Amino acid sequence: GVLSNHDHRHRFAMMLGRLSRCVLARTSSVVTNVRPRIIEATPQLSIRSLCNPTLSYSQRMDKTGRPISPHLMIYRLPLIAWSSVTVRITGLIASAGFFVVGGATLYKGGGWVADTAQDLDMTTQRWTGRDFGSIPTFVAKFSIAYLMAYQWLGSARHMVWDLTAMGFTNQKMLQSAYAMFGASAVISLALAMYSLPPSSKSEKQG
Amino acid sequence: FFSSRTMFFAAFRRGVQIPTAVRAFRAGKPAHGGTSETENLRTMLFKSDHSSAGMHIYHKLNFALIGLGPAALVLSPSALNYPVDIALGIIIPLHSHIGGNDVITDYAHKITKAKAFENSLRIGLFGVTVVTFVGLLKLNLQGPGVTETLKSFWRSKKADK
Repeated sequence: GVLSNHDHRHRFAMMLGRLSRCVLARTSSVVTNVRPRIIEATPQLSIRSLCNPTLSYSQRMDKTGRPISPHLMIYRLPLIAWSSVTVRITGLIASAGFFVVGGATLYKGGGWVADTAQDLDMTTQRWTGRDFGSIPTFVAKFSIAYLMAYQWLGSARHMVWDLTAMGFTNQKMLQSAYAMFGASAVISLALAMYSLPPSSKSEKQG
Repeated sequence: FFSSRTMFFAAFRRGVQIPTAVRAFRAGKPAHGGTSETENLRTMLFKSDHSSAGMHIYHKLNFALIGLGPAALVLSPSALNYPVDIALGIIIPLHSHIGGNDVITDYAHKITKAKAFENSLRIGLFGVTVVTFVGLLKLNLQGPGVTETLKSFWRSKKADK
């Protein structure tokens, strides 16, 4: 038979009631503390799937199953974008480096990393059995200097953006990207060619 | 402490608003007001970029690191560098942790949609941070310190006594 109007309105009112309860339960901490159980105790409610306001936009779009059109795969990133990506890459590699230093210290003792680093050529020769001359030290110095310098310059640029909002034009950003890549390369090359004398405090902190 | 019937009528009277999720660009500032109290510590530890407190800490730490880097370089072999080393040993793991959470949020979803993958990555990152923290602490307290260790790549071999 035909459903009467009352039936529709009744159902709608019940649905609205459940929806409002769950909306209020999620948005009001008082109600949440008092009765969080209404939703969980009745899992067969289909309204429950609507009552999930913590789903982000991306998650809801995922649920539709639709594919994303290609964007990063087909777009050639400008240098400004690469300068930002490189900040992240240098940060990741530096984090990995600090993890290795920390782990090696825990495993081998407080002075091991410093001792090995001071004598890197000999150490690589011992580990690999081949003599590379002074190349390992140069590569290590250049890499560490480049990572630190680029990361520092990128963070400084970001701080300038945050605090002064200067340089938010394409021109300025492109210039800053060139400056960052160039300055890091120059600084790292200069530092890598430079050596320090042996540590004067050989027995510091045992 | 309001009966469900009361809530229903109250809401029905003023008109129910179905929450439409506004797209929140920053994970640290979600559209729906953030996490509840019980979740806050867990979010800050394991999902740091989803907690606004974590992101505020992150920004302040960045400023601190920008100052501490050159300071450490300049002060290095002297004992004045000791507080700088300690500060670096604390701030660098925290910075790496929150930054790493950022990276996981950005890329883990693109590899697999499974939540277990992302969660296991976050737990792994927490372990990495703990190891880094304790290792750098040991380096500072029982070794030559963070700056001196990095500088030792530049030092030539100690002459035999």
